[in-house]
Amino acid sequence: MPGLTAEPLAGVVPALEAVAAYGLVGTRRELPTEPLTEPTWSAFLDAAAGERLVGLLALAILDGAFPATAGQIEAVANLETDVAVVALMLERLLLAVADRFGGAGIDFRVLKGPSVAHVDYPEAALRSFGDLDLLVRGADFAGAVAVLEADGGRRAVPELRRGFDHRFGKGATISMPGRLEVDLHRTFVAGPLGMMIDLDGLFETSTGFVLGDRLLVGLGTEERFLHACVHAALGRPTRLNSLRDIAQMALAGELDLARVYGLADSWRARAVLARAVSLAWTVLDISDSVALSAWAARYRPGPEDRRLLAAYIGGDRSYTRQAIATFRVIPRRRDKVAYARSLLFPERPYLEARNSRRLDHVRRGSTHLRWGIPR
Amino acid sequence: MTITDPVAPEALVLWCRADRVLWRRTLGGVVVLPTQRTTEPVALRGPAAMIWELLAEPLRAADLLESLAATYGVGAHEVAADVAGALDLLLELGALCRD
Repeated sequence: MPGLTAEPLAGVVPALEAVAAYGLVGTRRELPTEPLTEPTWSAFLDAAAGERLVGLLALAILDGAFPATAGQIEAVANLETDVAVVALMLERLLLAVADRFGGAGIDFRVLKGPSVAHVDYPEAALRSFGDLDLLVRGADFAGAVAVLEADGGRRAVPELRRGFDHRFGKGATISMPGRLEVDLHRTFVAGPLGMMIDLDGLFETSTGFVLGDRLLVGLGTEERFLHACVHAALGRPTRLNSLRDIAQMALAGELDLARVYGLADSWRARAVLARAVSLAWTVLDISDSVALSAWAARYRPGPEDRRLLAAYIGGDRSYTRQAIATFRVIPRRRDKVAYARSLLFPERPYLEARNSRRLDHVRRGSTHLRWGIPR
Repeated sequence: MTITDPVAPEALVLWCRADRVLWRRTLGGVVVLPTQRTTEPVALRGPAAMIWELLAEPLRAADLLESLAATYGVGAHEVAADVAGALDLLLELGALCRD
């Protein structure tokens, strides 16, 4: 079950899935008919917060669709206020970062949380988030980190090796004052898929949304949808709100499916798209088949698809397996060498931050290699 | 209280949401965060949240008071002092502006 590490109490999972699906056309998930009792209620509320479903739960209660006692309603109201406080603090940070990036001439796209909340949901409160995800061009990456650091940000893990970030890196997490976090991305995901996405193309389209009195830009509609699919399909675990994002966008009727398939083809991400849509339709139990869900149900991954998925969600998913898969898709020999050198010989600040030694790093990789290079 | 007198200057003041305010509607009311200040977000409940909702469009104080009184089924005089206090507080927070 997504997000749950211990054996869930009976009644928790069905209620969570029903909340995640609440309001979707065609879902067969059913909300409880009576208020949950302890200890199920407490476990359910904790899990709803972990799955970032508090906004949908509050809406279901407000609509009278989710039966709750007065005490439970108060608990949800308090929790939703806490969630809103975090979201608003992050959005205020986003406005400040947008000003700073604008001043430094850094173009960026808002990913996930604030963008999806304001563009794809009828009420932003229905889609909560816990950090900011921003996409910048590889060439701007170091400048963007410097801007955030000048505002008090602290990069948790230094660059693996000089030049790695802007050529091969997924991104970096920057801890900002006030215990807020910015995930600065060069691409959507580490590993082979991240290397195959047309990153310049992500800046050729956009979707605007207003925060306060300012217009910000997220990814274009189809790019935003595919990013949600990457996040949901390759996540371990996959949060229920990620699956909701997919259903929310797919059922809104805004997607240009020819563009979705075309982008997925060019990124070699058709299997990722199919897996994400199938997961969403299955977990949220959506009976209505739309063109996209019908396509996903029919999709049969080929050997290349299976290798790509295995790099992320295979049984022995590992750093080395992903690195080897990435190595394979890097087109130029010179770049392959640079990539391998970075992984094998990280610079000292990186190792110190990870509290490991050079040989540990190599040894970790070679241990996996002894088990055989995954195909 | 002057805003109960529809021709008094205070009753004619036009109230609106400030431009750079972030907010979320919640089960308990509304949470607002003015972005021009370093304040923490403020949770508005009950009539304060209702004032925020009613000010989706700018309103004169007298009209706002009348709408609130009708919503809660009370006389305007009964809530005028509370409404004036809430408006001043929201103004001080930077969440509202007056014209």
